[in-house]
Amino acid sequence: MLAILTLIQDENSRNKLEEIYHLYGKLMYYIAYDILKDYHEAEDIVQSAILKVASNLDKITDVKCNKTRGFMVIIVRNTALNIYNQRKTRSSVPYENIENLIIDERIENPEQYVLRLDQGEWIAEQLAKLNPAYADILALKYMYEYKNNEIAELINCTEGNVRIRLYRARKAMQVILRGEKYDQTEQR
Amino acid sequence: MIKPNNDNEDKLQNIMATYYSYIGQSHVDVINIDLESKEEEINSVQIPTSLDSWFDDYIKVSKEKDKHIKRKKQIKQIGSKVAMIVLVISISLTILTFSVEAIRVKVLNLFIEINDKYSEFKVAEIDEYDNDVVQRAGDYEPMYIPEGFVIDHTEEFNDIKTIEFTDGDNGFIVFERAPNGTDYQFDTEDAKVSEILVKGTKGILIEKNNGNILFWNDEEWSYFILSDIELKIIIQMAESVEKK
Repeated sequence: MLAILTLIQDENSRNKLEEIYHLYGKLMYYIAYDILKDYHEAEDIVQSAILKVASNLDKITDVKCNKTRGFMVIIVRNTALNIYNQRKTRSSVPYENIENLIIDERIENPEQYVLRLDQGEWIAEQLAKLNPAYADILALKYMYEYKNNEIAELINCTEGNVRIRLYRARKAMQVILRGEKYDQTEQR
Repeated sequence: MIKPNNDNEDKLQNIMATYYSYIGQSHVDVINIDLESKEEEINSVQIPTSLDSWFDDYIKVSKEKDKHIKRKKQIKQIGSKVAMIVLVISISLTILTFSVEAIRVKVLNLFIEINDKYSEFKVAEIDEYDNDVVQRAGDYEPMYIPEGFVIDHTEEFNDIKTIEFTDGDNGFIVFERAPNGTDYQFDTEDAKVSEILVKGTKGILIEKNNGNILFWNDEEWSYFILSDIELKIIIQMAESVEKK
């Protein structure tokens, strides 16, 4: 991998990155390999993820916590999925070809469904079952509070791609909340 | 359906953004629960040594860059003090031009007082610096470089050549060679200043807590070595300076 790196030039950040690597290195490698089934590609993904995290260390306040562990999983998984999708020939229209579609950026009104506050995990699971990337993108956007361009940078995709994923994730959420059956064929 | 006005729409957007954040948090909780069930499997993963090496190299390069910047700052700090003193000297010399001999002595005395904090080192008057010096210019460098040190970078400005050495860790050595007549001002506040022979000629050794400076000259050049390494190594290095 090319070593054109964002070098960290303060000791605290460096220590933080070392702690992240030692705590989550195996986990990142495991996730990447699980998706790509290729040792070299998995290694590349981990390197890429580490460099992405190195550029965003200020947003990680506590290394040893579920929030950071989840963040590492999301970054590695989505970067690996992007590689996987590029590798795989799909019959459906790829993300990049439909980026010019007009996307309604507004968040849908919750008038037609109930926001279930006692079933967050169940809803998140349902969403992840439809497509793990949907749940991931919602987490990156609304929980980790990254902007679309930052998410694109983090998971190696275009900003348009992020917008489409967010749109689809929100649409999928509506369907789950309404208790309707989700047609995945339209969403691929 | 009632069409919401802008205020209501903003509120609804905020509600949904908060709800999505809640779902995001729940999603992260689910990820962590899932990981706990796979903990044993994950812990048994062997990270390739090439990945570990890559990371170690990345951190090492980052540290070296960091140290390089710190060293630059350290040298710049000395430089800025020098610049301040040069200004004082320039003003003093202007006064000298219009002064009688008695006042000239006073100005010189004043100058020496300033040297209590910053000592001037100059081997000859700048006027003596002529083209012959340039013709004599050879690439004088230390032939002995302490073990573990390598050249980090070299800078040349007119006849002044500076070589910075690094050991890849905290150690640094700055060697500079300039034509005789070049003014040097070194911070000697709270320093032990002593005379020392380098290759048979008198040199000045300035010992401070954060580093030592050895200044000496030969018939053509003035030299200094600035470093935090052992004095005897600095002296050995100075003794080894030869025409390349």
